[in-house]
Amino acid sequence: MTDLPPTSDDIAAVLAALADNAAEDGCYGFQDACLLIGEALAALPAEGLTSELQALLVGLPQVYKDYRLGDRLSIAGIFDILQHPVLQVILADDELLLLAEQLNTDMTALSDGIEIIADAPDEPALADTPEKVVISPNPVLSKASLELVALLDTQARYISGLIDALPLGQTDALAADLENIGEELERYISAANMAGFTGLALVCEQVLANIERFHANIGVFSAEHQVLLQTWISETIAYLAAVSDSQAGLPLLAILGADSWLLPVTLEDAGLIMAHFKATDANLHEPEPEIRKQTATLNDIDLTLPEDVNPELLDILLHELPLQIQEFSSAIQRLQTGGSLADLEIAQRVAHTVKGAANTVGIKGIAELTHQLEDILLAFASAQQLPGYALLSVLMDAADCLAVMGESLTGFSPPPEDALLVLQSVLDWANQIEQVGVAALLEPNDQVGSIPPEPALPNTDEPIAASSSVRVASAQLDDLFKLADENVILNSQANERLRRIRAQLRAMEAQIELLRQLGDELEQLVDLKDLTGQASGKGQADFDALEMDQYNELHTASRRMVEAAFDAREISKDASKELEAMNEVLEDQQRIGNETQAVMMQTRLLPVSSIAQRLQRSLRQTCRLTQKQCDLVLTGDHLMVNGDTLNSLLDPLMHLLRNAVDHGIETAEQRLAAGKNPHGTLALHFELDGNHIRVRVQDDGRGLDFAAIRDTAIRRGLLDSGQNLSDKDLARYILRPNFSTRTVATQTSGRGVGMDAVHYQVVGLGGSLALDSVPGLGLSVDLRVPLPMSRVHALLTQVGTYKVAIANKGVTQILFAGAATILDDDQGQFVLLADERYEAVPLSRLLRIPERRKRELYYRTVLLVQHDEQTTAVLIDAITDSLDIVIKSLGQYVNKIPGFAGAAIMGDGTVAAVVDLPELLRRQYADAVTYTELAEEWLPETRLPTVLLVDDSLSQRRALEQLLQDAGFAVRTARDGIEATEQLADFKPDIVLTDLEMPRMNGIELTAHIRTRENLKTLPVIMITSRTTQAHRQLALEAGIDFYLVKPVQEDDLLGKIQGLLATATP
Amino acid sequence: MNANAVTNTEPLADSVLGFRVGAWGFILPVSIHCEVLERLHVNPIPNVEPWLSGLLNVRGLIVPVIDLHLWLGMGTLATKERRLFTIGRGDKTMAVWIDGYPQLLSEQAQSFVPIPPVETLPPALLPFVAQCYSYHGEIWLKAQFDSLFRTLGQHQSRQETVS
Repeated sequence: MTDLPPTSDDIAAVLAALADNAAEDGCYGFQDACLLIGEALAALPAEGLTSELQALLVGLPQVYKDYRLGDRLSIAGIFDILQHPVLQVILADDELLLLAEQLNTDMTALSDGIEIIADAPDEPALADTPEKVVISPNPVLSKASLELVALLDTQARYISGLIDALPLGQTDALAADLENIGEELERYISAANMAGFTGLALVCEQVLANIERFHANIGVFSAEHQVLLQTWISETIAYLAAVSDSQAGLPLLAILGADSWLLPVTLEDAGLIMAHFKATDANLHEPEPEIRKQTATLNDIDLTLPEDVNPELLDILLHELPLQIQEFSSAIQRLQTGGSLADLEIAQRVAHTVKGAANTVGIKGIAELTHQLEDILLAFASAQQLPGYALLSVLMDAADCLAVMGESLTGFSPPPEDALLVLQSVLDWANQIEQVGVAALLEPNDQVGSIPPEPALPNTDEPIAASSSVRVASAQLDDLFKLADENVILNSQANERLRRIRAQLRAMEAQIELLRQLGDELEQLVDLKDLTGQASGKGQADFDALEMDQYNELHTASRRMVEAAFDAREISKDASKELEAMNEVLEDQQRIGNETQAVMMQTRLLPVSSIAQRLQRSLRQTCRLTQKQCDLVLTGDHLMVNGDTLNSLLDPLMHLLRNAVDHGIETAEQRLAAGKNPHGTLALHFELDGNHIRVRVQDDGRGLDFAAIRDTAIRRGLLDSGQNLSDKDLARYILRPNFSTRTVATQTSGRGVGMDAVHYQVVGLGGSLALDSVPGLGLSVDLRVPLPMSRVHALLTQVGTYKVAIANKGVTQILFAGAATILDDDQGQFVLLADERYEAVPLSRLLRIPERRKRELYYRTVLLVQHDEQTTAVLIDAITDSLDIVIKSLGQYVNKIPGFAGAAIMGDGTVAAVVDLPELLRRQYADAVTYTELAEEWLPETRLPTVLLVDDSLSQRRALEQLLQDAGFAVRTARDGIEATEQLADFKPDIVLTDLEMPRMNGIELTAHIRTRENLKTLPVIMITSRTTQAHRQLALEAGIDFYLVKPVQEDDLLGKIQGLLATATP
Repeated sequence: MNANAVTNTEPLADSVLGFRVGAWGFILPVSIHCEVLERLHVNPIPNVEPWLSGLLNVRGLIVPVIDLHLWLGMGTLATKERRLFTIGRGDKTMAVWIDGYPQLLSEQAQSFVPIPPVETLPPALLPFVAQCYSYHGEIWLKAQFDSLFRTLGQHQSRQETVS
């Protein structure tokens, strides 16, 4: 050596100077490192300083220079010294990590102000180190990611050192070191996972498994394996350097496949790891900070709907939009006339909501405009300032523009012509605010200085017009107007006729009066004649009585009377004609009335195909969950059905489809073994049956297991083992509450929603359900549901003191006693008709109305009624009237009285209950206990798992609500955290789904609240938000979220996670 | 509502409507739509619980009539004095029999003293009573009519006698 080796003191001095420099530069990590090295050096005996260590220490200033320039490799250099075995720096592992972090952070802080030249290719110093890979700060990777990468890199190098130092040949020491490496690797894996490097973590797990295996069979471990480990760790470091490269993980993965591993990676795992590498790649990229555009383009004001637009969400949007825009306009108006911060906040919130909704549906024009508006309003809100006059008028223009946009979406008016101009001016304002800030924009006549914040207005309620509305074609409305006009005309015609008839009646009265007078006169004359008859004598004897008529008063009087009578008859005939004419007018009016009603009802009709899509989607989902394959075949979907009925059928039909897939359709293998097509078929057929709609759901699965049903029925004491029942009767057992042949709940049927729920719902609609099953061939479920607001023909009758109307439902024949005979035998009363025996029961008995009748008084009218494949004769006294009625419900509370279809208003204003004979008869013959049980104790809502959905966006709530309901959950919603807590005070759902950002109380606060409540703290919570950053995720996890999902959410993923959480939840 | 619901003691809001059914007074917020009906025919329905007096035709709307007094097991009110009183609107309208006329109790709202639940309160009514008040020695109840009507609506058909 030509130079004198520097002494320890020299080195110490250098270290001290370096430490001070570092402190001045703000590199506290480096300063710490220097101090630590200095201390260790001081503790070292003079001979201990090896030349190697010396060289390293001498190189420290250069290392610092590199460090200052942002060379991450320099950190490794620092650690080489810190971890040098001779130096023996006392540092625990976590202290090491902290120091590494600090070094990284400092360097990043430095590099912010300094131009990164590390990747400049013409830097000579760095060109000498080709094997050292420089981690070039990639402009696409986020700062956070870079830090993590650096951290993992440092740790990897540390592990690399450990691997290099493995003492081959010394079994005990080797085992101990391997164990050490294993522990390090475990820590590394959790670090990698937390950082989101799931692919890397999986690779390391594989290596860890191998290391543990090595440790168990220490004798096997050879130099070859050491090389393997070294290759692996250097590849890891290389991966970290190029982590933004999409192919980065491949070489690392390739190593895992080497034969020398005791546990080479399987193909499956390799695929999984590959997928995770790809995912990691995506995660690292921070969402690019939005650069606001400068110029508005035609694309930005585009209002065309996307092809795959969800019609229901669009409907909601179209419904809500005018109201929201109205609110926005009002808020801006208030601001124009001296408003407050509260108005500003309202406007901003509305803009946010509309933006979200427009984005969900996919309408660019509205989304873009509201996005810019929201940004402007947000800027002012955070600065606690109100916009000035000029800006407010631009905002007002924007509000008007939005209103026209909204209207144009319905197709009735053209889009706004000034949209581009409006958007441009809004954009200009937004850009200006971004550049100069809010304060610079205040106009002199504005109120400067912060306005005292007003208490936030109560959450604007959902628009009052939230009551269900219906879209009516204008042609139908025209028809209705015409019919209404005609009705008025006919009514006046009827009045005219009535007037005429009155006149006739008066004329008639006068005529009768005349007759009466004439009658009196005649009477008088007759009396007189009687008295004076003999006195007149034989005066004129020339002609006899036959030759010349003798007119005297008597003749006159009688003639006049005859004429009067004749006239009276004429008047009477005229009056009859008038009445006839009036009758015709009234018949016309009735026809108009019927037509009007029919057209009105048409407006509420929807084609069945409108629910087809949801049924299809639900079926596909169930198929995916159960891993079975089914096709849905729909027939009769062109049928037009009352909208309400259709909607209430949706639930039972979805349950039936789910049940069919879950219980009925076998797996593909089973089906093939049975000689069936591996794809199951579900046939759904719709048809009209009088004023009912019939739906048949047929599957070609395994059908009902009658043996199992029998066993369960016997087990539950519903059946004696000796009793023999037909398949049809056995089938009906599955309609009983809580009847299930399964002992273990499967994933989809675990919800326990079975046939009893469907039956309950159908009966609640006033309908009926029939089952038909052939083992091995499938099950067919037949639903029959009455269409409401239907005009039915009914018979009025008196039963005891009650006046009731009997709907013609089920009535096949009306007989009058005489044509049939009511007989008695030991089996009860019956009716004999054409050699057929029908059991007879009086209506009074069905309605449990006590009657005191004389035995001889027989029922004069018999109604033959069909119910559930049986015909019974119902006996009534007489039919007092037969007419068309409209069956109305009894209100929301007394929704359904068993045995009655509803009530109807009669012509005289009284209300008659409308009897449903088939239902009455069914209740009579069925086991009475079952049906009361059914009606009273079984409440489906209490058995469906409940989800509490919290989100401030209406469209998001509705979309998720629909998804969850279709999947079989009962859903409750809340608009923000406060509402959610209010609801949670009354009931406990099975799981909570919440958004992150909401007014009044956000998702994190809500979760924290939930976790502090004794009765709620084990409640599973899933957060669904658009925020992707690690910071938010971390915050959420700390608050106690079970899963953090990022929008847009995969439906299957969400459902799968929910099921998982529910399965493991503590009750 | 559960039986433990009668715990918070809130003072009355300013304007309330009160009506009496026998020994019990009920309080309604003024915002609820209600109407007194004179001389309207009640059409009885066969085979229902006796406290479902029947159906009314209120301007084309069918409204069920509940006899609360009978439901609570205290017999019917004196026919001469009782009137029909509807609560709610649209298809959520229900009618009850009340004694005399309802009263607007605005000025005296302050004199309503919240009290703990009274022992004589019929157990059937307890789950629906949010708060009891005492006023000039009389007991007035703030009840949840929505839940009450909902429960009554589910139990209107006479119990079958199991043979």
